[in-house]
Amino acid sequence: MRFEPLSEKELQLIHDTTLIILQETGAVFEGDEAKDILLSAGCLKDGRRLLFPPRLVEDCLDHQVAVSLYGVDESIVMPLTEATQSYTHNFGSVSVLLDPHDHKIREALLQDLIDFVRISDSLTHPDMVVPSLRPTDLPEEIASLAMTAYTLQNTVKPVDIGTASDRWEISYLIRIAAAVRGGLQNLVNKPMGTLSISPLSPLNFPADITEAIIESARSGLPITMLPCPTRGLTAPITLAGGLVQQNAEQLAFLVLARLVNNKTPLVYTCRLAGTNMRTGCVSGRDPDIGFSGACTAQLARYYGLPSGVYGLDTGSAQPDLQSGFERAINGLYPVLAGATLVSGIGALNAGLLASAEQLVIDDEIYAMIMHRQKGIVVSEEAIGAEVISAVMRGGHFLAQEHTRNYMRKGEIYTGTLGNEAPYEEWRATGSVTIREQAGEKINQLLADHRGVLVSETVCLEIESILAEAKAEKMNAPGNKR
Amino acid sequence: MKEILQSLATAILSGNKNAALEWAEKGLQSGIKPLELISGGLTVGLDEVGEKFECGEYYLPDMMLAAEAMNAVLVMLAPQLNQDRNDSEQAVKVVIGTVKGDLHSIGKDIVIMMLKAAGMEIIDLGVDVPSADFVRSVEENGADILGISALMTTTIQEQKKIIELLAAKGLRERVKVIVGGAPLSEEWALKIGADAYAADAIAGVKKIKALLKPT
Repeated sequence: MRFEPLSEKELQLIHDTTLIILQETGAVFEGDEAKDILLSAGCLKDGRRLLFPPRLVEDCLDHQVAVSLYGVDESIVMPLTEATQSYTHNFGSVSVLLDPHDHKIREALLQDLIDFVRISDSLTHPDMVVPSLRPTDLPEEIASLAMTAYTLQNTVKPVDIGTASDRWEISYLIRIAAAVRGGLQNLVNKPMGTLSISPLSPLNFPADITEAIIESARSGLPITMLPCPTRGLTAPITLAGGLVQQNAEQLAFLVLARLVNNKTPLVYTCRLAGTNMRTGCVSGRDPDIGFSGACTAQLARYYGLPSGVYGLDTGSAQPDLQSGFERAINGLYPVLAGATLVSGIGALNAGLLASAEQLVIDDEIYAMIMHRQKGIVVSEEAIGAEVISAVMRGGHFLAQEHTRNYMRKGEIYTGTLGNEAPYEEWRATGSVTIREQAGEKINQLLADHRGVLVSETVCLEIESILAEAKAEKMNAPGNKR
Repeated sequence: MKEILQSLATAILSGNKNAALEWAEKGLQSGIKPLELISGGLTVGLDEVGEKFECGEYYLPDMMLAAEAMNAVLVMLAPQLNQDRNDSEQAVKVVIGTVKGDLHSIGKDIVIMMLKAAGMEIIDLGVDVPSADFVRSVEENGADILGISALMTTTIQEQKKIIELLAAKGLRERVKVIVGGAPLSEEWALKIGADAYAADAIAGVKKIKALLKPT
């Protein structure tokens, strides 16, 4: 069962138009090394823009590179290529949170980040933990690195290595991840996540970004290509136009990465957002977040790449009804379309606000969405005609082996949060809301968590890398940030 | 004459640049002074655009197209205008830019377009601007307003740095500072000592106008 909003003909038109845009309009590429690489591969120069011959793009697309991610605990394997299910992850890099105790908004601290990671570690969803909160009590110069470091220390799951905005950050992120994995070669063989890099929309790759792409591609680690176009603001307002521009950004990115290292595993992502046409800000109440994710899943598959898309999303600043229905709508489309990675866990307010309560509730939402991702099995055994026959001759469904078997296989969804008790019973047991349940679960999960999960030696090594990075920043005030 | 001014206003209202240029040209040919074309035509149209935006009938693209039409006419009128204008009418000067390490320009550009249409003089420093450049530009241009944009949680600290630098150079009292960008909040603006914060471009233009009112 798969939701496929684009026809073969439409996919072809998107691809063909993308090649024309890359050939005739091209993309801005800065940084001498990137320009040298692209020009010597046959790109043409037109002012600040480089034009891509269709043949070059097609050639780079021809390399198929399989990728799997591994947990910090290596026995957890997440095959992204040819994945038969969607994997979930949380939002990244938010510095404001909704306090789970007093429900007030405040700046995130390091302890909050650690709590978020430990809660995520204990839940089924997210499958992969992305460095989530950007603590304001960490030295700003190394905040991105520290986020990754403290995330890696507190979960056994796959961990996104981080979002980098320049070469310096990439090199330190790789060192930190390598310290946890026991060396760079081990990390490349069994990456626990990807490096995420965002060009600017429309079609603009500044020098820091091209250097980061080159550095990452050389490392051989998987890269998440993460353009974030906004329809009506930094991309055409139509979904079709937005998808084409996003595709052009992906393919320009892919060409550079593959020219540097044709074994670079890449994840094709979608962060295509809509614009609030009154404020010019990204619209949080946008059912097309999910729908464009479904289209993107199809496009990525068309190129043989794993996809990473936004799923759960809301404009609401509370884990409330609005958040619930907007998340469900946006989460369902991409999962039914077979997106490889779906995001959004724990974020409110169009990704600007973090909430631990929402994080816990999202585990439930994704569990419910995933419940029928693979559709249903219609077989003689599953139908169980003989069970109907037996019951009609004087048995009970509850007393059938068939019932017990399929119950154990999860045929009927059983959640862990939310109410389904009759009203009177619900009231008699304290009229507990889902938000209160989530609050209790947070306390329970944090109390039960085993704490730091990597060895003391590794922790010390990480601290020394962070100290080195900080010293380097302090001694080089002119260093680009 | 009245018909020409009205048509010019209508062209602005509908964001029709070519029609606006045509009617302005016709106005000049029939002897209407540039300043009159502005006050009796452009401004009338733009005010109506503002009203339609306020009441929810117009959206950002309507505003932007109107502002573009307005700016095109202002550019065309500029040569004659300089002869016409007397020196006492100094335009408000706004220095604006996106901080170091941040390459986002769209929000800033919308604000610029609106401010230009409101007749202010804009010194656009662009994106990825070092803090010292903001301060130097404020000093050199005698700016009334400094607008600092930052769109990433990783770059908003730069706003604080710039305000501190202004203070260190003894310039803080001479200029009103407004900060903008999606990851910001009113609290953040207060914390770093800005005069105003705007969540979006339209609010930004309003706040700037409010800052300019004598207290």
